Amino acid sequence: MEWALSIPRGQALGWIEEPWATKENGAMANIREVCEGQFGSVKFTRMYFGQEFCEKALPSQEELDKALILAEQLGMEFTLVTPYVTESGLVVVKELLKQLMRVQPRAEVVVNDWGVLQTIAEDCPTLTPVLGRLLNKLLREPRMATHPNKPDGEALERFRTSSLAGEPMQVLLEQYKVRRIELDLSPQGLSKHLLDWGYQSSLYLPYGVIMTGRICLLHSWGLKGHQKFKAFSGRCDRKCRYYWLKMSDPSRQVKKNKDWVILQKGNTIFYQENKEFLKQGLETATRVGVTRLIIQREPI
Amino acid sequence: MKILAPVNSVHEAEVLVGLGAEELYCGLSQAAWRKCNGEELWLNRRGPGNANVESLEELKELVAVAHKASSQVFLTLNQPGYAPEFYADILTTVRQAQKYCGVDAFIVADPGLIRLLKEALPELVIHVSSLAAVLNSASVSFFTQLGVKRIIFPRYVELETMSSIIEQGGDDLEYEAFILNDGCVFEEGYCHVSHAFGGAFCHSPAWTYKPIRIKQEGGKSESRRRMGLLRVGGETFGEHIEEYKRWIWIGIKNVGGMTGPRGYPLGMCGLCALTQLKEMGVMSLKIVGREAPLKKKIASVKLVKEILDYMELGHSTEEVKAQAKLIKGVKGLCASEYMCYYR
Repeated sequence: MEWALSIPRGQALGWIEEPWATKENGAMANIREVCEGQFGSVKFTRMYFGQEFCEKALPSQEELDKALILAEQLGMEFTLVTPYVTESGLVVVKELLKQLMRVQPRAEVVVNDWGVLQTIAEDCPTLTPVLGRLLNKLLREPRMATHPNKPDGEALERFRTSSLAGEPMQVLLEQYKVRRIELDLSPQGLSKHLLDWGYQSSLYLPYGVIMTGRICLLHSWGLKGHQKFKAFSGRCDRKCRYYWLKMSDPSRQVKKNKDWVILQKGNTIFYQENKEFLKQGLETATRVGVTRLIIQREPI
Repeated sequence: MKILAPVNSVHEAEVLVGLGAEELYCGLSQAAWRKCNGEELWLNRRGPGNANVESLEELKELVAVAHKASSQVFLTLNQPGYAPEFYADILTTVRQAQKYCGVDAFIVADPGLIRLLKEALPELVIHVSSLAAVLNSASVSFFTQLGVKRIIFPRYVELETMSSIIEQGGDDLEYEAFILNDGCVFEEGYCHVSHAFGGAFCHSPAWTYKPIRIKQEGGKSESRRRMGLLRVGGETFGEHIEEYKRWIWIGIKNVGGMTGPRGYPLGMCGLCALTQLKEMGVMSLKIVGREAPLKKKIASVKLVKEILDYMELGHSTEEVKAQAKLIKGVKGLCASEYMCYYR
């Protein structure tokens, strides 16, 4: 198993010295216990630098430089993680890609936008694209587990299968030199046929993505009325760095679940996987052929 | 510019083309599909019932009605992705919808499905769904290489961004933008849940939010002040969440389905941007809401037509904006900008 540590921003490069965070961070303590319980001592050999969700939180070229230098000093492989982007975000991503190609021509880039994949193919063909989990359209539906018509058997297996498993997408991704895809530990479980999809696969822990968007709840906090709830608007003061929002639903349409907690950070809703769910998920992941685990202290 | 209206029956098609909808879109939910795949696995993003036509025969009749009025019909196959086991069935359905029913184009988001369809039926006209989240010019290039004809911009793409994308995308493509009804809290193309499991996950539940302060790098001390009282820009978190719920009520839940004084629907709207959309080359204006009642669809088409006709008389951008606000008749809500796709 390959272990990757996610560093979502330049200010978090120090995490590399303390990958599992502090002892009082319960979520990370759980995941460490589960991971080391199953695999023994974990050694991170790859740095995932950047995040998948917000073009406002793209790293600067200076931050990318620092991350590349640190990864090299520590002998770690390097992956640049990119989000979905509008036209202005694409300009920034293009610059980062060119910079990366100059320093590490064969480095990996996680793409979560078809346009970024196209850009790599056209402008930076030596880089190695990885299909990010946002372009893997498997449902991550927390309500599925408690729904009265909860799918099972063959129906459940269909919810575990994405278009990536089909020949049309396999051929298309081959044209774009994509050989690795990324996954979440989805509530319905992983497909037992994952290896047959024909890619290497990576799994993110312990946060699964439920939904993300360009309108950011936290960014809007404190803005004047007409500035609130606008898509990717204005400068961002990165409040997402300081707060998680724990979500609960008193109407019980989304029932509490022992397997996860629902949280929002910035513009994205996640489910944070609990210990037993992680444990079972990791066992399945190993069985179905996942070859890389990406550990996220914080996803944004 | 053409008005693209949602329909779910032959009758709706008759009424809406009569009011000036030159393009219609619909979904298909056949009993055989539901029997085979269950009620939770949908062929498109909206479930059986009011959002879909139920049979190929009805679809054929609907297309005939539209064509008689020189309008076109598009069929939604807009799930962000499909399990490959469905591809054969979908391909059969598309062949029937095209050859037997005469559907003019198909709205698709899944690049794998687009590739499959274009390989099997090279002449097929495909519109890239807003579910594909085409937010930049490179994404347009990606889908152009798959042979698509039209790009449907997702909600809330800034006008400047849209204009830049169209400029780079060129005249060979058609461009469609949202104009009326139904916002989304998140990016629909990056929403990994399904309304099949209890409606809109983002706003149907009565979500409460408890902020949790994150200890910062370098171990700075944490604030022990109660989050509900912590102010940003003079606003407490509690006040902000109340405002968030107000925005959802106005922009996403369409002010509870209420109408303005002239009977026109409230909720998301892009009418103030009509002249800019036209100037940049958007040719199709999408009215959202396949599952909405016919009364709302009628009012929606009438509203867009009225402002469109006003613009075509040569009125300026400012005049069109003023007219749109006047006709909607809800000055305060318009001023909040919470009903604006483009602001």
